[in-house]
Amino acid sequence: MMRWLGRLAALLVAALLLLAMQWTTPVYDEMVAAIPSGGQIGDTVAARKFTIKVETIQFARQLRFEAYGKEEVRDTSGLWAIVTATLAARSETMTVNDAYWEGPTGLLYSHSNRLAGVRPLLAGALLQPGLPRRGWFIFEIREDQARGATFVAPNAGLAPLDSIVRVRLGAGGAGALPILDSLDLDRMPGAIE
Amino acid sequence: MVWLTTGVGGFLAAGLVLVMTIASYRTDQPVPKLPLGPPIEAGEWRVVPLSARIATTTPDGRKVRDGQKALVVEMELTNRTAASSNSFGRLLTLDPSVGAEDRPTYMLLRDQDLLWEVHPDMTERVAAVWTMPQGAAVPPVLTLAVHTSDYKRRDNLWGMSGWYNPHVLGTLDMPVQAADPA
Repeated sequence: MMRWLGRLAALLVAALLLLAMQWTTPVYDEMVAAIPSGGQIGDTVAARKFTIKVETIQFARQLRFEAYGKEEVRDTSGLWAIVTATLAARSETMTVNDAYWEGPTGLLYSHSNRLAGVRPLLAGALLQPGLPRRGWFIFEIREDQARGATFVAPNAGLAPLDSIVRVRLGAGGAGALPILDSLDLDRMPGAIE
Repeated sequence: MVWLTTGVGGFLAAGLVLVMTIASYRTDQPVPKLPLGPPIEAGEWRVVPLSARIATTTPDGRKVRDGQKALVVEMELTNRTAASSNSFGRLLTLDPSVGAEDRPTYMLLRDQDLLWEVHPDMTERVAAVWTMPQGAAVPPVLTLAVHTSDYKRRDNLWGMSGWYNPHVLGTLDMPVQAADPA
């Protein structure tokens, strides 16, 4: 009798163990996920191939710039978020093709492609080792995504087991956000790389 | 006895599979008609169709090539997902009998330029533009198919979340305005 009970108990324990292992099996996606490297505004955050130092964030409802000899105005239903940063390749020539504004609830806004012709854009800019570039990542976001956001680059889905940077863009205390009605990118100081 | 049971079980299984296979080939439900006006929730996208017209210039201000015309369908498009996306390319299709190209070009009316991506929960007015030969017969009431796909928390191969199993949500009838003068 005792032997049978013992066997039953062993069987139950084995079943429980197997169930626990099944429940906690990491999915493939998580096993090969990108490895984040964190920091905040002002820090130089290093990924495997590049370093980034986010300097300032500005918000505007409208952007103006001259592109290919034409004055362009870009409106948005939300906000333009301009992230000024210095980007540097570490040991080989490379580009950072994607950058994301991750809102406080995890919404992922990719860098805007509506700004063709703006010169110091960093997304897709060729980076040579030893020649850091200063410029902008510009995002079009909802106004409620402005506070407590994180800058993420490059695309985590395309960088399995590689490193990505995650820069916290300030907790954003109380008070109104400083939002410009219109921002002339050509007159913004320190824009030239 | 054991043999008999095995045989009966096997036949039962085979019969069940046969019935299920036949059942899966039965004529599907007709594709539902979607009403024009209210927002249509099509998987990743929420779309409000606004108008359809034949034009000689596309919304980016360019003339279409000689011997061609453009069908411009304007709509309000909202990204329902949590990430910026450009998967609107497969949202709308025309009946192949119209003779237009397969996939339309999407343009952002705000910029009068190509549409690259739509950001989460930021509604934009956009236009889908099909070009077709001048002689192509566009019916006065155009039938568009609206495509959708299903969200899966984990796909079967990699365990990634995403939108899979594209299928037609329904069809939509839109009156086409006549060609603009010029």
